[in-house]
Amino acid sequence: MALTGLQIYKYLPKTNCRDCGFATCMAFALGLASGKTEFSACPHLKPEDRDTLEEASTPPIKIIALGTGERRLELGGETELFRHEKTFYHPTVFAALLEDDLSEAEFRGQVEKLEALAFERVGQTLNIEMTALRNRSGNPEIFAEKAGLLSRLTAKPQVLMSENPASLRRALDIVGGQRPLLYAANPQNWEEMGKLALEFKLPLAVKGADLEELGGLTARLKTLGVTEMVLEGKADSPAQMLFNNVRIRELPLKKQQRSLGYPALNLIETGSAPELLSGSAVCVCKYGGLLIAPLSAAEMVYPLLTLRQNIYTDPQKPIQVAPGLYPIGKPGEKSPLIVTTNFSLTYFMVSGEIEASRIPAHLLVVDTEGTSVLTAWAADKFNGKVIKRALAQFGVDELVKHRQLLIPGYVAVIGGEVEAETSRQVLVGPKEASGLPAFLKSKGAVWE
Amino acid sequence: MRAETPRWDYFTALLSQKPPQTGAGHPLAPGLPEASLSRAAYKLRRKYLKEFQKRKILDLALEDEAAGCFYACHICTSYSPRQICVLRPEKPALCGLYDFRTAQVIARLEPWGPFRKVEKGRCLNPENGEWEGVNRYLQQNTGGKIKRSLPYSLLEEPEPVCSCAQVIAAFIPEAQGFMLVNREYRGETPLGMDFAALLEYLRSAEATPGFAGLARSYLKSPRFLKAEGGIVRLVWLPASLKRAFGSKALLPPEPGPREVKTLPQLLAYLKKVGHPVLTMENLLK
Repeated sequence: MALTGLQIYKYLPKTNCRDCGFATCMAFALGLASGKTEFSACPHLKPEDRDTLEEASTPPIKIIALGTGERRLELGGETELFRHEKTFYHPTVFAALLEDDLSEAEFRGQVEKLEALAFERVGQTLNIEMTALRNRSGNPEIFAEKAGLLSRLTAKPQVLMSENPASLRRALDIVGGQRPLLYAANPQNWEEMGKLALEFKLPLAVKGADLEELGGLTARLKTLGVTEMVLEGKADSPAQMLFNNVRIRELPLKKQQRSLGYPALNLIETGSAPELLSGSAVCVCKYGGLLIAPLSAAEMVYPLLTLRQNIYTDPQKPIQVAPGLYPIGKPGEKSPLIVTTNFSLTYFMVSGEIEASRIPAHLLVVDTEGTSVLTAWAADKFNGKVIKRALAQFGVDELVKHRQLLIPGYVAVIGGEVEAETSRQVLVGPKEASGLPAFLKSKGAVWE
Repeated sequence: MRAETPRWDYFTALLSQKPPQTGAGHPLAPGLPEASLSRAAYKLRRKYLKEFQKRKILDLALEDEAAGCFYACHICTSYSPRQICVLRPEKPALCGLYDFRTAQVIARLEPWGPFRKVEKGRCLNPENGEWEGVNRYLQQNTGGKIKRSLPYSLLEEPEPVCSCAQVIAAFIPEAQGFMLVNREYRGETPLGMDFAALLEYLRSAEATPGFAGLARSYLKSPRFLKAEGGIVRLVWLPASLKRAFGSKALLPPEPGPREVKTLPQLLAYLKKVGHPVLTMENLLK
């Protein structure tokens, strides 16, 4: 049950010492209540208080960490069924399925293709985070050899998939230090798998025919001491998979069902290419924590990556670009000067349209905390003073020798204020970025 | 109304105000130059402004118990599903744009619109303004997320804060008092968070005890801080907000950002001036 700021405050030392990075204990309590900081940030909490607080605010769905160092990933830790209620915390992790019984040449080829599958969108690099190596050969030696080869070819963390604990053990001797995910424990081998997971201190995937079986398995594994698990319910159809995903998210959150309080795993490998893609899309849209699928075709992977980027945007944190003076094309002293906000989407749309116009220009991006033009204007974050400060901060006068400034059409009302503050002549541009090419062409490439 | 309650003082103060003089402009239409109006038009306007003032005064005197029903505003619900402001005669919406009378008029003109009637039901607690019907309405319309509404209690279960709040009231436990900060004030507060930071924490949370979003016009209301002991519980506010309180006589000398910037400074200041809040009982149990 989430604690409110005041409830948390009662446990804090109330010294306002600032050691936690907040100015007052009340501010720290509010930060904790909204999940913006950790209890460990306060070095003066009494141990029993810290335990009470941690107990009360353990996320209903466990956070599982995979991979090490730069490649570390997290799953789980979700608190909402709907993104708009607050936010989603961890995007679905993608793991590309690879079989261990391929020839070495084929194997290398597949991994190379996988490494190349990446692209940039709205300032973020999108790619597949993990690989999933499956012991289709059934042979521990081949499995271990391929696991080693894989770890040399790519730094991506692995899912080690085998029904045979011996195969897993051989592979772990080679790649155990990189914190892979062990797949999977089932009603027959759960004890051995559990002991293996405990020995190497790794998270364990758990497979069950239905949610009841899953709940039973996780409870038994918990008595062994296994706490980090990922759940896969048997799914013969996308509808079944959707049902499982929804229940695995819903029951811990709404009914406090701790036995299912772990991220969901979806393995999608049967069907035609469109069926694979639609099944994976369901996983991304509906509570999939980890997706294992044959992700090799660009036409399947790129839409999925884009979908994931959109679904898992934090509604409370708009994506931003760094404010500054951006040259689009090769602008000179008399090139147009255009101002806009630092919301990523705005920036990329406006800069894209300027590029399309083939007229080099200076684009002044002011810091509006990632809000769009109209939002920033409504919140009084995009006004004459802000623009004046940005002009000074980024040394615009050195690079631009004319006194004209183009503002977005929707905020024409601030024109007078901007002129007064910046002593520049304000031109009001089109309302939509798509009008920029026509506007710039008619105004010309040289401004005086 | 009983004599010598804050409401009575307030009421008589307003009644004693003179109607606007010729050529002085009017608070309701300050920019309009008087000379440009024809005499007849001016007389007509004076008459209607007087009527408007009279009604406004009567509205200010209306108490929650006397209203037939309340009205709920769903404008912010479109982007913040748990945000439904219930407009009462003694409490306007926290954005400051809508009050009870406006909501009533709009609800009657557009029964399908963003303002809806809320049956009051039984009054569960007149101190903090909890009504059975309001609770039921909120539960039904927020999918069970909001179960109760205690609009006049800042510490028990105040209404959720929406990002359009004009003023945020925050509890300072060390001082056992409340501070106010408004949107226009950009500096730091004794809690160490400025308006934007407070808003960020509060607007996406559930109702946060100790914190509330308020309209500037609500600050004048006798209900403000009444359940916690009255306006004497106010310990810090920016200078620009002092004007919002109207009659100065109601406001004890309060420190603002010029005198006090941090929490230790605030506590020292309160001790120095012997602020009455220090003698009052602890609010946090």
